[in-house]
Amino acid sequence: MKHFFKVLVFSLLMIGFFAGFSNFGIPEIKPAPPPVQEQLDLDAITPERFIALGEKLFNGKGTCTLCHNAVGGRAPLLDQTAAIAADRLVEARYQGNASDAQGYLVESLLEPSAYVVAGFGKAGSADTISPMPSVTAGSIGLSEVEISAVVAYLQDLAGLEVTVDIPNTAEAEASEPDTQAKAARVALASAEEVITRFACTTCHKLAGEGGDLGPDLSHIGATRDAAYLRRAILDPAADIAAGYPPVMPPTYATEIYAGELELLVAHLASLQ
Amino acid sequence: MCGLLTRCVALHRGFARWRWALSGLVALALAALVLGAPGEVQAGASDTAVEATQPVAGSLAPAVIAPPELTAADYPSITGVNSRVTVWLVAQLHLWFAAFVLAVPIFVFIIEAIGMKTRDKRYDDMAYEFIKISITAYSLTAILGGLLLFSLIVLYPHLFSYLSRVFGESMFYYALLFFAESAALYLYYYGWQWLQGGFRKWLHLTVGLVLNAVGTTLMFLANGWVTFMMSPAGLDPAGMFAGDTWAAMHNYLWNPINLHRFIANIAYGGSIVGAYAAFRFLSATRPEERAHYDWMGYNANFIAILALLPLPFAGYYLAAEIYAYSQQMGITLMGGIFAWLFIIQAVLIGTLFLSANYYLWCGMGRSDGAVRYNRYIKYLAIAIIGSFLVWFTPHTLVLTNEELKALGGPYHKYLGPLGIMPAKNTAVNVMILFTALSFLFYRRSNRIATVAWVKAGNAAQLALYTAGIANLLFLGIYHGYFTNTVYKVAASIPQVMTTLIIIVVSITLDSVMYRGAREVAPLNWGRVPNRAQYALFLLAVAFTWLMGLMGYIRSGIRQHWHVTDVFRDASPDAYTPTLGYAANVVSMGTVLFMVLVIFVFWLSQVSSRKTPNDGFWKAP
Amino acid sequence: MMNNAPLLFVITLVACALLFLGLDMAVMKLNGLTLLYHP
Repeated sequence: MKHFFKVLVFSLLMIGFFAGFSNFGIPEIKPAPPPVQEQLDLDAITPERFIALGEKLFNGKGTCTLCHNAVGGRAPLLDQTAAIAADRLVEARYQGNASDAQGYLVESLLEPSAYVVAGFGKAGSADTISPMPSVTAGSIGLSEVEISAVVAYLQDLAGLEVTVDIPNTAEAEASEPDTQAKAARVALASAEEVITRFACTTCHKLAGEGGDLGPDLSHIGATRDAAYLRRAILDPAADIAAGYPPVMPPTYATEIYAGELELLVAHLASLQ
Repeated sequence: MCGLLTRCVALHRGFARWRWALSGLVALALAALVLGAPGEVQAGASDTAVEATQPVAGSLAPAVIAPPELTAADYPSITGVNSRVTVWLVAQLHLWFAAFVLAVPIFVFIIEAIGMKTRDKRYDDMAYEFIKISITAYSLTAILGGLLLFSLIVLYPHLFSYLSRVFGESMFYYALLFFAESAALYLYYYGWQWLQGGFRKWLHLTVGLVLNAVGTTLMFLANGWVTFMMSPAGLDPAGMFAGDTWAAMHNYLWNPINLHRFIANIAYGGSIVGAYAAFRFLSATRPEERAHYDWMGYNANFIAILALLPLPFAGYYLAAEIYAYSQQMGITLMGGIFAWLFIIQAVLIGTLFLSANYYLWCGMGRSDGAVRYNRYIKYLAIAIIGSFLVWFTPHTLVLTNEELKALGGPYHKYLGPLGIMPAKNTAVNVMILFTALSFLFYRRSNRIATVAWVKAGNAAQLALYTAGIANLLFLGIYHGYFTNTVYKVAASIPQVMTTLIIIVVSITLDSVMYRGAREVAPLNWGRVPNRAQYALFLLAVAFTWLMGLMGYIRSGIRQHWHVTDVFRDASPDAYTPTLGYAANVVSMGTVLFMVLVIFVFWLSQVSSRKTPNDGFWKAP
Repeated sequence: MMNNAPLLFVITLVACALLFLGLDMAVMKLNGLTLLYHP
């Protein structure tokens, strides 16, 4: 029994040492809280504030400084990038399509492999592939407006005049990236997939199963033709079926691909 | 002996039935979940029309699975229970026990095979004793697995629903494989004394092989789920899963985790068994008992060290693949908010190497011939401790503002450079090399070589080590400080290879050199100081704590994502906690684990106790 | 010669050093790099 307690005390002491070291022996770093989707208020934005927004993104949400810093040597320093951008455009190694310095800066965010600074390419790619992650997708998710802000910041950092257009709120909303990146989605190949993807059966019945917020579509082909069905999907408000609430979303027009629409319409029209 | 066995079997039979029931229950639960999961639209779930729920009745197309967009309301909570800590602790406890029950059959199989080759029954008996310890642990692994499953279903239903739709099939196979695992394990254990001699022994060994194959497969399946969450694959650019489960499983981090966990499990299993042996040694009353448990502890430590040596390389490979998947993730891991965690890890690994070596050095006292090597031990100690100090030197210092101004920056002028990776790589390679050297000395301590070329052999060994260490230093210093990042990283590979080559060549050379060697005297098993046993306990405790810490980093690197960049964590606990907090949770888990393991060890010896009948039973 | 330990030490040292250097060069080459850094 004596040994049991000695071993127990010894073990607890060691655990205490490890915990103690972790709490007091190293600096307490509080990781940043998960990012929240900020609403950009651009109605009264001034150039100075737009540049400041760019700086905030550069150091925060854009996670640029994770690699573009003086310590790690993982990515080039960006303080003079805006100034030397024009020179890069005429280099033989330049693979992109930008025509001016501003365009180069935007392109280097969206297509970083267009020009990889010597020594910073992926190992074994002879500086042709950039290890830079996508800034529009996933955890960074910068919108078009935010990219403009970052470019404005880079231009200001190099001491140049900011040539980026300062957007207003309406433009910003139009360019918001959908976090599900719908624009990048692969087109669906069958009517069944389209029905699943757009969750039609939430409100409509198909093959006898589904919701009853909208008309039962199980035999819709017998009473409606393809032209009607097409219009009903693209512009539901044109004709709301009698006895049903006018709640069908009007957004399918901008979400469904043309090919997918035709597949769906053909399928529905065949349901006799 | 027969009576003992009958008692063992009787006690375990009760548990055995219960374990079958539990396996069946888990299989049923999983089946129900996988078949019944789609179609639930919970209150508060996303309103967007994009979420795919029910497949159209009568359609044959598989549902394209979109990751849901959740809000805090989608996470059920139980008052007074912190969901994140609950799942964290249960998952970690499950992993500790799972590592143990997967590891033990690996080395039991090998020890049994060695016993069969040498016809030395001591190996067979030791193997049998090892597997006996793990039987009760197997129940606890299953219980914790079930608890983990229920915790996820109750506290993170949307996440589990998503994962079960991506991995449904594999989860089914996982549950069904447990029938095979249980059957193999029970047959391996209960049939040990029955399947003896000749063909039956080969049959028994085969059962052990099957046990290991099934166990490894189970681990690989579970590894697929967890690595998918870290580095998802099989998804289109929009994050949609279209049904390719193999692609999802076979993601960037799957094989690195498979390799790392396989090796780490062996090291861990060895350390836990070593702790068992150490405790039995301390409580032994008779010299034969002491000798037996001393021998057992030595073997357990040997297994732990053997697996410990290649482990840093497996870990490095894992980190390299994290970088390959996402530079950002890699940099956050080692250069960002988690960087200091690796300093804690360095302390722990240093502890492991120091304990293991200390145990070896103490153990040399078993041999009468070890005295001649005593004077070299301090150099080994200096090299290992020096390397450990380098390894745990941080790059950035803990400084107040005044100190920062005085120093002119966050790095120490001379020690700062020791904080970067090339210095660390060099340090760990040196530690590994010198640990192998300790082992060589231990092996030699009780033997005197009789071959004619002893002097030549020793000169060759010395030259090999000198050249190797020089190469390590060259690669570490030149490429570490006079080249760029790409060269620095690439130079770590020849460093690894140098160390591995030296270990293999020197052990081979030593074996040849000591063929037919004269034994100084029989080893005095049991002649080892009690403090050496504490080194074994430290090994087990440090290993457990380290595994907990690494479990935190594996999960924490995802930060506020359930599935990186695809499925966002919207729960109230989505924030990444501080390292201090994580260390506290890990410590709590380690204590819980210790309590359960003590119970397991105690149980394994309870079956041999017998209370004589003092009138309770009627006279026959 | 086999019993001249100092000599054998030097020979083995040089041999091993060359082998290790060869290993270094081979691995660096496989990664598209050279042993010595040319900025």
